[in-house]
Amino acid sequence: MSTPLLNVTQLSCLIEDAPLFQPIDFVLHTGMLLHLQGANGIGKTSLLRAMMGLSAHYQGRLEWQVPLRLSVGYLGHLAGFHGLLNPQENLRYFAAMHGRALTASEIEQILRHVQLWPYAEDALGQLSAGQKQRFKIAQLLSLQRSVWIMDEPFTSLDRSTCLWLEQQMCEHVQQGGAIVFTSHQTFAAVDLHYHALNLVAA
Amino acid sequence: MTSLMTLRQLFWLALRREGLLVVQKPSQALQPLLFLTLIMALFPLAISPDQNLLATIAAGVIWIAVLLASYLASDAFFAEDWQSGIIEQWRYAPYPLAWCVQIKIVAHWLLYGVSITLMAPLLALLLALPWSQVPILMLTLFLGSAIIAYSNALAAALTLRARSAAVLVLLIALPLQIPVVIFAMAAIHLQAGGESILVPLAFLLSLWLLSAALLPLAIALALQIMMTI
Repeated sequence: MSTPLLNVTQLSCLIEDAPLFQPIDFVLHTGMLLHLQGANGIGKTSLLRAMMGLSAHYQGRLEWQVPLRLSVGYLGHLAGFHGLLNPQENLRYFAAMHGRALTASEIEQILRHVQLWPYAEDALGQLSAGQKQRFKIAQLLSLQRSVWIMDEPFTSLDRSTCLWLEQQMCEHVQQGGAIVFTSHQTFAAVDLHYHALNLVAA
Repeated sequence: MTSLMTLRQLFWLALRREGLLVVQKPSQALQPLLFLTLIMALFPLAISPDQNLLATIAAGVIWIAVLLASYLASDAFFAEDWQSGIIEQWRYAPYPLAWCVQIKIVAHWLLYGVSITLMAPLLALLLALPWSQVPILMLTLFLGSAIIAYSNALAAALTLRARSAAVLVLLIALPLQIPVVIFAMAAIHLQAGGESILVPLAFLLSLWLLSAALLPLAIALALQIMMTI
């Protein structure tokens, strides 16, 4: 059984009151992996930000059926961490901001999961771009949200980590979660849950 | 669905984070305190080492210097969290944006306000302020630095996107802080004259409560506007 999470009707993001892409309609269900595609500047990030309530520059309707602030996790372009603090402290504060109190062992478990535990005492700002991206994935995982909104989650990741992330995403939707993500890469692990939505310039 | 952590837990974690940032960047945290001490050291040299003269102006000089020192880094109050996307996180976090702002300001005040208050006896010593006036000076600094923290944060939020924010912060925050200086100095002078300090203290306290209750809402609104334009 899949339940609707988000209804999108005739939605288009606006820039200076002009629509960026042709209006789209979709219903996001549990167990759905939605891949947003489209050329640079077509408005993929704007669409995700509108879905997160971070931008009001859109026309059409966007109705969450679940509480956005409690059920949805967002992996955006901005860092969301302080470069001078280490991954443990950053993760603790991030989860706290979103209402979750993490124990030290939970933090260790998540950081081990994204293979950042060896750097747990280092300033996050000194890690490589790929490691920072892995930290952002750790942030998303730490919230245990059912819906993931991911903006270019594969940025800077090496091949094996990309495959690992794809697998994580597939497992998440198989367990009844839902994901909307943007990426210019082809998603290798295509299965029944996978849907692609191509944005077309207006 | 696990229950949300309480605001108190969030507050302690945020305070811990601000504290850790001070440890990581001690120079930025010590800058206002060092600035204060330097001004105090210059006054006897520039004006006169005459103890009586210094004692008359000491409280006022300390208050002006505290106010000026508070501007040193205030234009950057939200800048780092803004650029790194922390403030964006606040916007869709389960807690109201104004609460996140409130917590950040209170954490900042506890670190800076308290350290300035604790420094007051040293500053008083440099300017030969009579010891009898030190407790009241510390009390007004403690209350006043809270009000200063709120109005500086408001100015920082309003100028988040401005290019040379430092001057603008000064222009926005200073008028709001004039009453603080007036009431703080009134309390100190009344106490020196042996009169009741109840009225100016009541004014300071109500200014504090008003800023604590209303300014986080205004700041949240300002941040909201900055993020949508």
